[in-house]
Amino acid sequence: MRVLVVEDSRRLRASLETALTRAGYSVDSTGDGNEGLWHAKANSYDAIILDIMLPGLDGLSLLDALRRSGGNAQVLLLTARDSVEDRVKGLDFGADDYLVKPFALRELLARLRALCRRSYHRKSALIEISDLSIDLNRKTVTRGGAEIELRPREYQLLEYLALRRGELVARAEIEAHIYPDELDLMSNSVTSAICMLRKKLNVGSAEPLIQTRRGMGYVFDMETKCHSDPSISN
Amino acid sequence: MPFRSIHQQLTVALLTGFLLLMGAGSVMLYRSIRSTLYHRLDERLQVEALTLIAFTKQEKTYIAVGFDDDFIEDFDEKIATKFYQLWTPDGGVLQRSGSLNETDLPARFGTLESPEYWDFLLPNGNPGRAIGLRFVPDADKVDRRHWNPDLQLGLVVAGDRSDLQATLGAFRTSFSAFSMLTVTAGVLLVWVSLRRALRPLQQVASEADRIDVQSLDHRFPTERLPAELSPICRRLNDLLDRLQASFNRERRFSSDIAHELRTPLAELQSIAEVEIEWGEPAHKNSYREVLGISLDMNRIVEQLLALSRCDQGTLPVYPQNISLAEAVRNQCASIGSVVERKHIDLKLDVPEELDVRSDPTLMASLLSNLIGNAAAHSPSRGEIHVRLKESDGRFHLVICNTCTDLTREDLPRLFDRFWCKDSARSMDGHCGLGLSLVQALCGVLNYRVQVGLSAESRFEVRLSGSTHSVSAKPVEPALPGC
Repeated sequence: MRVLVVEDSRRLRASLETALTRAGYSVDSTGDGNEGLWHAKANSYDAIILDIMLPGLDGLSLLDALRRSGGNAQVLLLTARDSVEDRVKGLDFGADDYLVKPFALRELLARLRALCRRSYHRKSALIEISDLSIDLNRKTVTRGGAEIELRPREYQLLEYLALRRGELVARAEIEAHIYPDELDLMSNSVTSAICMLRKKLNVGSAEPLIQTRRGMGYVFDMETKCHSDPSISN
Repeated sequence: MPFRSIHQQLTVALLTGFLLLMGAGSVMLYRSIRSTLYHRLDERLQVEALTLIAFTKQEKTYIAVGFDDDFIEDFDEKIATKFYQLWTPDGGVLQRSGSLNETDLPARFGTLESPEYWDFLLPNGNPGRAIGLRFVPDADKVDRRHWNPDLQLGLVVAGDRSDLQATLGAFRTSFSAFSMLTVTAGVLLVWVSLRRALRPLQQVASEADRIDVQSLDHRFPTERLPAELSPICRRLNDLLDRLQASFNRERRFSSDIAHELRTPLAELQSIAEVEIEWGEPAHKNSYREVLGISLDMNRIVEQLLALSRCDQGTLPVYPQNISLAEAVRNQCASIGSVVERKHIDLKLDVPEELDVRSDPTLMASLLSNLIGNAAAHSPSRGEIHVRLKESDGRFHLVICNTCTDLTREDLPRLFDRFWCKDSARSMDGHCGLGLSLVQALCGVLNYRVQVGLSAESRFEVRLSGSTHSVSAKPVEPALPGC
């Protein structure tokens, strides 16, 4: 999952970056409102954590500009203002959630997970496909009852593909979501990661989960294995 | 002071002065008129006496009185409005007027230059006035060889003063009536004039009555005010401007400082949580302390904000039907760990159901502070007794706990902000705002909270309120004792 943090407090921004990265998110961050708007428009984020009192452009104005431009990323407002009027105003401007400072990191992460599920139209934190089970809250994966150990990036990749189950996910989208700052045009990190993920998921099971559409991307869906499409390969 | 209003004081003073002046003036006028009338009467008597003296002559061997009653009719027996009597030097009666009819006038004499005048009752029963003097009758002009300059006769001439009395009486009656009319008119005039003149003062007073902490934006009107009140009202308006600004600053201060503290508290808390979760194991305990401190500070900030909102009257109240019995039980359950750790004997006397109409969040805050305080301040192996009941449309919650460090002198200070008994200062998370917040919330919800201390070292808090509605009302002071 890719998350943008727009918070002018350097210390808080650093803590959030650390916590979100540790929790398996790819994190972009800035302390300026104008820069935050630029990031939000230029990239596709699963969620944006947005402070209200920002230099340059305040959070509500940023949010308004984002929504008017068609941006529909899930937005969680962070603020010290807790009155009902402030909450209503924030939500009316297009926010999806509201968290008052100071907050428990656990609560922030839980709300973020809920927002990300919402962005993929999911209510449950559990994704179950045949004998594969992905717990989005605990970030654990089991298949056939056995837990599968995945590295953080591998889990992020699996989670991203599973949330977009049945959709063709382009390589560029994977790069942007999972490896935003790390890839150059010649990198094969995505291919390697897909390959490693397939190996770990397919251990002890004959049912492949990730199909490749050559030159286009990947599809995460067991049902598509029945289609006799020559472009599909494991 | 029996009269507390300027209107009353001025009315009494003006009327008293008016009456005194009227009275003094009336008396002086009456005395003047009386004196004049008496003076004229005395002059007439003197003229008559001198006339009689002129007709009294010394002869060689006798005194010749050359007039009789026919000379002045009033001396006549039949008319009898004037009287005279002459005495010899040895006190014998020389002659008397017929009007006396053999009675005697009082023998009182002055001198010719300074006669004596007096009032007395005439023989006819009428009020009279007399002049009395001694004189030496003159000798006949023809033969002055027999004139004895030492031969002094006594003369008293008296006249009826009934007319004078009647005149004075009529004057007294007329003047009394006039005075009463004048006084009555004066009272009305004073009352009406003062009422009109003091109306601006009353308006200023009623305007001042409307000003309180919640209406500091109210100002005194300064147009069309009397010259004496206009500068006072202008100065009062200036003072209100400064007072309102000060109140607003003070109100904003608590709110602003709480808001400003929230971001650094968020920084502190998030840094501590990150280090506790992912940091060096050796440092985790320290960061747990840091997290605890930041949570304590956050609690203070939230309490300050709530107090500030109560002060400003901006704390929202969302009344709902809530189960107070369940809320009390839940709050008692939340102190379970403290109760267990300190081996406190917790007794609940709470009905199965007791519903009230109130704001659930504010009620929870009230219960949290009261029951939490009981647990925090109870000593080990102490007792906490929580009783809840309903009667006559009101709920009554009593929380009693063992308390060994409070005295009766402490009770009035319990609701002061940031007041802590020394023994409580070292307690984590307790900064002395809990009961202040309870008091403020009771004001918002129209509840009553009282505290007391029994002889058996038991601290008691009583919370009561309507089960049907909430509205903002003030709270009452401490109980004298449990």
